[in-house]
Amino acid sequence: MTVLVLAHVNGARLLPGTAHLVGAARAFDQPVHVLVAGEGAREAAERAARLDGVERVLLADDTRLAQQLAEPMAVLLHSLGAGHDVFVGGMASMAHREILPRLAGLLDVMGLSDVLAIEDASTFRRPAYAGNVITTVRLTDDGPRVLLLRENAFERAGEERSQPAPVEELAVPDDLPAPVKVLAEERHDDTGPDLESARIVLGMGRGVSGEESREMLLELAERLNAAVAATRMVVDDGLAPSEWQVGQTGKRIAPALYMAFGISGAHQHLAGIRDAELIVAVNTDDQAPIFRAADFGLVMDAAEALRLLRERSQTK
Amino acid sequence: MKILAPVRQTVDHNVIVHPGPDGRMPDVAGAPRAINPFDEIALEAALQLKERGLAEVVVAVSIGPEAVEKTLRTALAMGADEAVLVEVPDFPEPPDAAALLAALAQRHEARLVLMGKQEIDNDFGMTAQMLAARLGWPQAMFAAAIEPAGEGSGGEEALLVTCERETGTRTLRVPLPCVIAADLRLAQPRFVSLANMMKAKRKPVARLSPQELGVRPRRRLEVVAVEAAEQARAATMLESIDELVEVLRQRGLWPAGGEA
Ligand SMILES: Cc1cc2nc3c(=O)[nH]c(=O)nc-3n(C[C@H](O)[C@H](O)[C@H](O)COP(=O)(O)OP(=O)(O)OC[C@H]3O[C@@H](n4cnc5c(N)ncnc54)[C@H](O)[C@@H]3O)c2cc1C
Repeated sequence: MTVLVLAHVNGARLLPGTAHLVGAARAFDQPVHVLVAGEGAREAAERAARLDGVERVLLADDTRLAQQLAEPMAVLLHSLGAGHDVFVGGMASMAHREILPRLAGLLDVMGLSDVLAIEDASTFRRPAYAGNVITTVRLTDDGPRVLLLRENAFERAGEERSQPAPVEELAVPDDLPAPVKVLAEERHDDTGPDLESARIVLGMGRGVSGEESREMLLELAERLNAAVAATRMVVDDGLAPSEWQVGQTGKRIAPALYMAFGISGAHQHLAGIRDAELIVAVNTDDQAPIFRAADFGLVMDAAEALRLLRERSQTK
Repeated sequence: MKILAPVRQTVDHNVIVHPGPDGRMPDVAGAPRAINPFDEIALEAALQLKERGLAEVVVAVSIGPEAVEKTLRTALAMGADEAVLVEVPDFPEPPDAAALLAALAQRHEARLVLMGKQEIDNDFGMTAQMLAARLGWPQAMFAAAIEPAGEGSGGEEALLVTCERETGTRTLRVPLPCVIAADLRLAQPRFVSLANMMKAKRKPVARLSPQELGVRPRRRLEVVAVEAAEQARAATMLESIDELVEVLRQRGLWPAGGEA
């Protein structure tokens, strides 16, 4: 039995989520292989070879894999199927969320998303009902396992090993399907720390109203080296880009500190912040549900709080 | 073009669900039920494609116990042309849902399946991709916009689908037939008038058994235990910003001499 971890890559870069996936994969107590697929991805493969616990890195370098599209990627994984009984990807990557379920479809097996813990080779913990309950579930078939893990829930593998694992270049099948073409990519500027790995995240809800308050929040974020998250309402109002959305249908984050400004605390939003170590909420309504999900609360106008915090962060 | 629009019935999204007694799955039998919000968005997008002349027929389909008929009535009231109910005692797991939908897509000669990206009860988020794999069709997940594509070089039909990414969006050219999975911003579901709801009550709902579609649903997943997500944190209420700054400073979460 072997575990195949699909690496998070962006061009030649190996993204940090990979180390978490490898860390998690060791729970199976089986050899761990990492698949690095993309175009010009050798450097990423060499980085992956330095992760603790990796036995071998498989490198699939091909133009058709450059965009991590699901159709060729799932077929590639399927072609590696024999000998790999567990396929592991991560929720933080939308590509993985496209590819691994498609692979499960090709294999005709049940897959699992949002995995928080691996109890044994068939038993896993995952949330349901927008994170209101945590279930322990068992796959009853013997077939291969296809798992999408919540990266934040697993310790990352170390990356300082002296003797890297071998990197094996794969012969990519000729008949990889590539029906879908990427015509355009629009990147919102992503200055500042990454939402999913930031130590501090400031959350913007509808109660942060007015241009000036939003500016203050962004400024405070910069001072604290924090990332900014938003509720769906704020995103729907066009006041924040959609990739800032945190919650059931947005990102799930686990920072050391989450500060919720003017956020009511709908359960769909809480689904994304549950794993934060410390949650602080500022809201004018002392009955807002967010106060039942926070460690510290302050009943105050968000604009006023932001103004004062900005002031305090200047003086020190 | 015919569009298949799967509409899953879920617990209403306003209901907060708690674990059942002794670690059992929540008892949601009595809870209000509604169309899965993402499927509702997908259905709306399908209806808009029809209204723009890009599709002729929208077939809504729901798989589940008899009670899902109500969800199909909502779909008809929104404007679906036909409704199909595949009656199974329990909501199927994604592999079976995908197998049933694949059989239906073929039976109806649908060129597009437009569905939600996830179900809001178990949040699997896998059915659309599994369906696309089964059919051997391309997929476009997390769709935020759909436009017709100009004539391809080979004359084949395609759609331009803008999809959400971690850091923005990307636009894909996806040849038909294909599966598209809706994200939140694809469309704003229309308001259903009472008059349309009444009219929908009289429309036919076709019924099929899984056997007729050549699928024998079975469980591949067993729930061993269920817990409440976390103990409520119950915030300690602070009186001032200075107290807050102190709390953060003590934990090394406030810039002390420059470092955050
Ligand atoms: C299927 C589905 C999926 C969803 N997924 C998500 C998701 O992923 N993420 C998400 O966030 N939401 C999601 N939602 C939406 C969610 O239900 C809530 O509507 C949303 O989170 C509320 O956003 P909000 O707190 O900004 O706004 P509101 O609920 O309007 O709350 C605003 C808060 O600001 C406070 N306030 C007002 N003025 C001030 C002021 N001056 N100073 C301080 N406080 C003030 C108010 O007291 C209130 O508590 C989803 C909904 C559905 C149906």
